[in-house]
Amino acid sequence: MRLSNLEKGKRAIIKGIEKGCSAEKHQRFLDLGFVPGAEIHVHSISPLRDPIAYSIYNTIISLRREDADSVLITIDN
Amino acid sequence: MSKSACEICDLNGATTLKKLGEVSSKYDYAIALAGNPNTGKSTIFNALTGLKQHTGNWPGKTVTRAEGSFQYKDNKYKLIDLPGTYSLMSTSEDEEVARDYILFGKPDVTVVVVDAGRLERHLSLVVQIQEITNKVVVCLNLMDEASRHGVEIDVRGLSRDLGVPVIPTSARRKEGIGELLLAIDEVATGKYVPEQKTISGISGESRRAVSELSQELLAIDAELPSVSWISMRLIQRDESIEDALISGILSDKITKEEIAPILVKAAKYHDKLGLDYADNVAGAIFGQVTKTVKSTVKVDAGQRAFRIDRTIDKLVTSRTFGFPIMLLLLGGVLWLTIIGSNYPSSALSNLLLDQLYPFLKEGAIQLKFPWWLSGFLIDGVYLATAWVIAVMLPPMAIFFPLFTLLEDFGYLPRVAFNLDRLFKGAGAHGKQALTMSMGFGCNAAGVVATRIINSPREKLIAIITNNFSLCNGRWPTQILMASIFVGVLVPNQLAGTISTLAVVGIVLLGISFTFFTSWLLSKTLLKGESSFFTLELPPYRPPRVLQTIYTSIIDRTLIVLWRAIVFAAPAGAVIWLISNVLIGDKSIALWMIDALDPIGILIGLNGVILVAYIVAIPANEIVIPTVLMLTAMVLGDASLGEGAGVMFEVSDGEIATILYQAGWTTLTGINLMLFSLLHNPCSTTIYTIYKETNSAKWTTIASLLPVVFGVIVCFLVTRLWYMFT
Repeated sequence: MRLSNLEKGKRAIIKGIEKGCSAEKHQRFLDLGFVPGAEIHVHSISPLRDPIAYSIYNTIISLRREDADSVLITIDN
Repeated sequence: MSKSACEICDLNGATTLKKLGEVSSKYDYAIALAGNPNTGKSTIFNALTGLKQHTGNWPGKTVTRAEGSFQYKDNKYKLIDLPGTYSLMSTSEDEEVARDYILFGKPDVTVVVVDAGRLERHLSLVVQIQEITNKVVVCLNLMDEASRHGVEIDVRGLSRDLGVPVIPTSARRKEGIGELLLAIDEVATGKYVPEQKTISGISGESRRAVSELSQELLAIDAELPSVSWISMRLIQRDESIEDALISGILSDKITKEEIAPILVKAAKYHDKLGLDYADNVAGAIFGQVTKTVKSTVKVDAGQRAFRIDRTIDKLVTSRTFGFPIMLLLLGGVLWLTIIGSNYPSSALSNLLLDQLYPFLKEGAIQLKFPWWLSGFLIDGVYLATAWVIAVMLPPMAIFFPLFTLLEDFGYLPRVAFNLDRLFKGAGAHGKQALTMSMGFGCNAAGVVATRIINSPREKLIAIITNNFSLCNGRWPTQILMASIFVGVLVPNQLAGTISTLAVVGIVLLGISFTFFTSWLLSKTLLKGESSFFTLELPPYRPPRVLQTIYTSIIDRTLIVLWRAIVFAAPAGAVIWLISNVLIGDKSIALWMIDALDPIGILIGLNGVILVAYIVAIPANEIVIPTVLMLTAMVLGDASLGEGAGVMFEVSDGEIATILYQAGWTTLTGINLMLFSLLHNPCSTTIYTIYKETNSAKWTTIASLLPVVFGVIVCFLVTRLWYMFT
């Protein structure tokens, strides 16, 4: 599943960054804590539905939909 | 100010602190200040050096390194505030500045400021820095906020785990600064030697690669510092580290020939391990940090987790209320600025123009100045400068603090969050929403603010389009024209509303031009992919009102005002000269007006307006007084105005009479409003654009593009006008 499909109110665990991503973008994701095993949930959605702000490691980071597409997740029960 | 007993007590380490402000040339130790954005790093910097660096609740505030100094006990320290970064592994400009200083500058101590309430994220930077140097002190800042959020930290345990001093502070309340100084002192002087640490938990082949390269590096220089970190960077193909090894910056023992095979090997590992390596390292760092945090931090889950932030964000980013709240807040700031500056503006203009000006003129007569000298200096240079100060200072002194309060509270990043979708559509960056809003106060300040946009392409778009935000200097022209030429078209009781709407219309037109031009640029001159957009929404923090007012007046208002004065003084001289130097039987000004009149008429303006915009390029504030002075000259009515080259302003009613007498129509008024929106930036802004872009080409484009738009729009409006009237 992709981060862009994560619904509000659900918690997810990051599985990894999609392989097709550029090396630079991949590293930026890692710097921001988008590492395998990290917990993530939707904090808020912008009035125009994009971008979406995610809470990860107690920090709120917003991503555009096409960028959130590159983050692979699983739903955490 | 009297000091409390605690402040003068010997046990308080801060008593032996002597803040030295700007950096002095001699120092005993160099201290680097590192940390994530939004950790209060600048507050620590200010507390130690006594400087007043602006502390913005906003990543990318400290773009270049700021330096200051202080004395503690017998030693002088230089303090270097590095840009706020999440990590040191990427190739962004901020991270390179921070990393290069820690690696090549070899500071005696690196203080890493971390947010006590967000330890997991922030400790990952600490771990990375420890990989480069062992001389680290962790400043556990924002302790007050963390305890409010129900976070309890075992500071000793944390210090043991990390192997470095950990000092809890609440910098805003000046708590813990004494202890921080002591720790810095002990590490700098070598009384305390922090542990050498290295990232644990890198698995399998990645780890083998790092240790193999490390051993080979140590074989050619046994004393090479930060060796495992250098190996890690080589596997990531970090060019600046490769260059530093080849050129001998990192070690003079290593020769080109010796290093070459190691670089080849590192490159092979890079190709083989690929992005898994990056994942592996980042995973190991966060894994290690998570373990540390689990054993040293207790969180009261009920209290914590951004409850307040979530509630506020729910409201300010909601589909229903997000935009209305935004318009209300930003519109409110503008409204307060416009209304609020009336009184101080007229007080200043009374002082500088009505009192001081005649006094100076009188003085010049007493001192037997020739007429041209008194005219040049007092009517020219003084009057223009005084005018700019009187009209420019009050709105800026109101707008900047209000805007900075919104910024410090944490609201402005939410504006970028709300509007990013629109800017994305135009090929621009969401943070341009902020620089655009800042432009309504002052375009020069708006251009400086584009530093928060990291992508060069999107930063240029923001710089070039900033001029479409109607700045404070242009509001008075708009309001005057709207009330004289638009308000009169409707019945009296509606006049106020209609002229206000006309001004709002101009503002909205400016915003449409911002989007249109951004789109146009991203499709033509600045083609390219949208960069990776990440925006941190920082925690809301109560702004410190008095300090904000102080720093925003010093930082933003006075700097911009000073630049404006530097440009206004010579412009005053020019305005006076062209009005008083005759060629043949006419002044230069009249020649210019006659020459430009046909072009002016063609685009629904006139020669006077064009000349005024040419000579008043330093500040939009002096356009109207210059127009009036030139109009009086053209009319040749001695009863009007104060004489050739002397700017003046009278009541709105009298202005209307003069302008109608000179043949102005509603069309002239409307076109002046349009041209005031769409013309070149003032010289202060042009200069700022040049400083920010360092490019004559982009400065020229940013200066000329709006004029081109202005001429086209005014021409079209004029054609349409004559078609229907």
